[in-house]
Amino acid sequence: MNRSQLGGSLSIRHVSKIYDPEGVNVHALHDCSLEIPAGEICMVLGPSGCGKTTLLNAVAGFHDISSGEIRLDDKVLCNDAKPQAVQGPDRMVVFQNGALFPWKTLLDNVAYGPIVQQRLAPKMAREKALEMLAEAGLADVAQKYPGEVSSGMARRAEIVRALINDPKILLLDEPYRAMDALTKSIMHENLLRIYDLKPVTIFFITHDLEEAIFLGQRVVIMTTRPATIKEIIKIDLPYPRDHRVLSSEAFRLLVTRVKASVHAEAEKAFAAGEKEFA
Amino acid sequence: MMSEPVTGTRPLSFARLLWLRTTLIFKNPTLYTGILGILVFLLLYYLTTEVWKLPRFEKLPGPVAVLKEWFNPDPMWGISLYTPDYYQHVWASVRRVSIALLIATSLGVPLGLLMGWSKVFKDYTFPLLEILRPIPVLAWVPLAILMFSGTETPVIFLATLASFYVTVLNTLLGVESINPAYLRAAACLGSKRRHLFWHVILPGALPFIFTGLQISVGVSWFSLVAAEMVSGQYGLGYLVLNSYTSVTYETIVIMMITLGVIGYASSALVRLLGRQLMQWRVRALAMEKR
Amino acid sequence: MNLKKYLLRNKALWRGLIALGGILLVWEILAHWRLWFGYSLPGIGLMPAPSAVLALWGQVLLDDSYWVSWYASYSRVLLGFCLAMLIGIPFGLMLAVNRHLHAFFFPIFETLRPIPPLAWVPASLIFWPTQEMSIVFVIFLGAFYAIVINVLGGAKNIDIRYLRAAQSMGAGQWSLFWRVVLPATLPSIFTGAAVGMGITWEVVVAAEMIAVGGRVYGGGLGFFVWNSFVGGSTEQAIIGMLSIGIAGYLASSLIRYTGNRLMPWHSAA
Repeated sequence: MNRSQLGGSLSIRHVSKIYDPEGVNVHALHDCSLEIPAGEICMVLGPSGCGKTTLLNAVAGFHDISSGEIRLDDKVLCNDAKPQAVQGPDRMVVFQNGALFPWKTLLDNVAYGPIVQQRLAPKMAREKALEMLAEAGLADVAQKYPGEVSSGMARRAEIVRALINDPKILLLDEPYRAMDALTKSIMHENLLRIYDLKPVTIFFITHDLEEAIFLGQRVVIMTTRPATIKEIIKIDLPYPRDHRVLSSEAFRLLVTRVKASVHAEAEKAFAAGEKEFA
Repeated sequence: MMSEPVTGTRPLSFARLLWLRTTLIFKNPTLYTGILGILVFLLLYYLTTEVWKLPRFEKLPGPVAVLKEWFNPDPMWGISLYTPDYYQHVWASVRRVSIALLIATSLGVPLGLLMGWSKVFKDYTFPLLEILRPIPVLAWVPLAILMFSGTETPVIFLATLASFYVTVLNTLLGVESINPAYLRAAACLGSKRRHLFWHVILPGALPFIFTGLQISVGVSWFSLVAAEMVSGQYGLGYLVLNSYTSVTYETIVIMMITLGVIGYASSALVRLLGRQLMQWRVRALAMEKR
Repeated sequence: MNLKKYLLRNKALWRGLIALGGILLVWEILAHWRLWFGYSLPGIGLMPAPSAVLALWGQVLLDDSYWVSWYASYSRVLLGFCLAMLIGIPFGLMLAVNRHLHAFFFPIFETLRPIPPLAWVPASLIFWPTQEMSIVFVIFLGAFYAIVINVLGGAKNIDIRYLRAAQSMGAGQWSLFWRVVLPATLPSIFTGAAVGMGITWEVVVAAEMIAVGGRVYGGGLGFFVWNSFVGGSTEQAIIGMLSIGIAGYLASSLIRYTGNRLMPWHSAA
C-alpha cells in the first residue's frame, strides 16, 4: 500500500506560543520543531499541562501561533504572516471528553461532515455512514444518541465521524484519557485495526507512557512549560501489534528508556503544581 | 450501571412515555404521605374557618362554602363552574398570557441567541438590558397605560416584558453554556456559519431555553395577575380583586384555585413539550438512572 | 494611569456606553418630536424627555416625601424578606434532610405554589388586622417560595461523597449538618435569596399600587409612581420607576456581596 498517497505529512518548524492572560505572559510552547512523514503514527508524550494540546490546537487552527511555521504536505497552514490556521476536514480532531453532538444520533453525527461539506447527498451520506459504522461494529447502535451508548462506543463513533471525511491527518487529543484500563487496551487494538485499513497520518497526544509506545512508530517527549521537544524515540516493534506485545522484552526495554526521559519532566510538573487545562 | 438493556431502536412514543411515568407515580409510597399532608392541611383549613371559628380565621371563606359556591348552578355571587362568566374571565387571562408568551419567546429567543453568538452584539445590547431589568415590571404600569391605548395592550405588554427578560437571559445562558468542543468539532467538519447556528447553537441552547420557558410561564402569570388587578377589566386578577371589594369572598378562593390549576397546567405543558423536542436528553438521563 | 489603560483596552465598556448614549439621544429626539414637527409619534413619542426627567429628579431629591417613600418600601421589603429567609431556610433544610417531612409537606407546598403571590392579596387583607401586615405577608410568600425551592435544590444536589467523607472521619449527625450540609447549600441559599429579593420588589411595587392608595406619606415607592402618574406628572412617575430599579439593584448587590464574603471558595474557582 502506498502510504504517502493517503496520509499527509506535517512539518512543524520552530513554533512558539505565548499566551497573554491579563498581561502575564504564559510561555506555552518554545521553539518546537517536528517533521512527521505521511502515514506515520506519531505519539506526543508529556506531563499534564505542558503544552501538548496547545501544539495540537495550533495545527487544527483553534489557536494562533506567536512565531514559527506549520505546513501540511508543503502547503502553509500558518506562519508569521498568517498566525492562525483555518479549521477544516483535512485535519480532523477527536477530543478528550468526546464531542459527538448529543442531540444527533450516532448515524447523523457521522453523516454530518459529508452533508455539510456538500460532498455527498444526504441519503448517500447516511448510507456511507451506516456502512462505516457497521465496519466499526456499531451497526446496532447507529440510531442511538451518544448519551445512550458506552464511552467506548462513543469514541469509536467519533473516530468514524472523523475518518468519513478522508482527512489527511487525524489529531487525537488524549481521546482515551477518561476510560478504564481494560476498555482502553481494546480501543488501542481497535485503532490499530482501523489504521491498517486506512493509514492516515496520526498525531496522538497522551500522558500514558505505555499507550504511546504500544500505538506509535515514534514517541516525541515534550518538556514541561515552556514546552519544547526533548527527545524523539523510535519504536521498532513490528506491526501488527496486539496486547501480547505489552509483556514482550522489547516493549519493556522501550518503557524503561522512555520513562527515564519523561519521569524528570513529570516531577518538575508536579512540583510546579501544573493544572491540566482541560 | 445499566440494569436493563434498552432494546428497541425506535424512539419511545409519547403515549408510552406518559404511561410509564404515570404508573411510576402510583408505585411510590411517598405519594400516600403526600396525600395525607394535603388532607391534613384541608382539615385544618376547614376547622379553623368553619368549625372552631378562630378570631381572624372566621372572616375567611371556608372550604365547604367555597366548594358549595363553585359547584352551584345558580351561585350567589355569579361565578361558579356553571356560569359562562367564569369561563369568560379564565379565557381572557389565558388569551393574554398566550399572546404575551408568544411575543416574548419569538423576540427573546432570537435576541438571546444573537447575544450569545456575537460578543460585539452583546456588548451593545446587554448593558441596556441590565439597566432595565431591575425595574420591577409593575412599575411600568403608568408608562404602559401612557404608551398603549386601550385596556388589553398595557396588560399584555407587562406580561410580555416579564417573560421577555427571563427568556433572553436563559437563552443567552444556554448559548454560553455550550461546550466549546462542539463548536470546534463542527468547524473541523467543515461547517459554515449557518450550519453552526442550526446544528450546534440552537440544539445546544435548547435545554436552557426550555428551562427559561417554564420560568417564563410562571413569571408571565405573576405579572398578568398583578397587571389585571391594577388596571384590567376582565380576567382572573381583576376578578380576584373585585371579589374583595364587592365582598364576595368565596369567589376569591375559587379564583385562587383556578389560577393555581391553570398555572400548573401551563408549566406542565411546557415541560412536556420540552421532553418531546429533546428526546436525546430524556433517554440519556434514563441511562444514568439517577 | 491604570484606569486609563483599562478603559482603552475595554472595548466592551465603550460599546455599552455608546449604546446607552444612543438610546438616550433617540429618546430625547422622539420626546421633542411634537414640539419640532407638530405631531406626536405613537407609543414612545408620548413619553417625557430624559432631560426633563433628570431636571425634575434634582428637585425631587430635596423633597421629604420622596425619601419617606424609600424608607417605607425598604422597611416592607426588609421585613418580608427577612421573615422569608428566617422561616424559609430552616424549612427548606428540614425538608431536604428528612424524607418523611419532605413527603408530608412538599405536596402542599407545590400545590399552593402556582398561585401567584398577588392573588393572595385579598385573602391577606381579610385575614390580617392591618394593611401593613397583609402586604408584608404577601411579600413573605413570594420570597419564601423562591428561597425554599433553591434551598431544596441545593441540598438535594450535595455530592454524596462529601457526606461519606465526613462520616468516615467520624462526624455525628449535628456535625454533618453544620459542617457539610450547610456550607454546601450556601450557594443555593444565596441564589434563592437573590431571586427572592427580585420577587420581593415586584410584589412590593404591585402591592403598594393596589392596596395602599390614599396615603401620601408612608405609601412607598410603588405608590409614589402611581400617585405621580395619576396626579399628571409622568416625569415624576419615571423618576419613581428608576428609583425602584436602583433600590432593587442596591438590595441585590448587598446580597451578592454578602454571598461572596461568606463563600470565598466560590469566586476563587
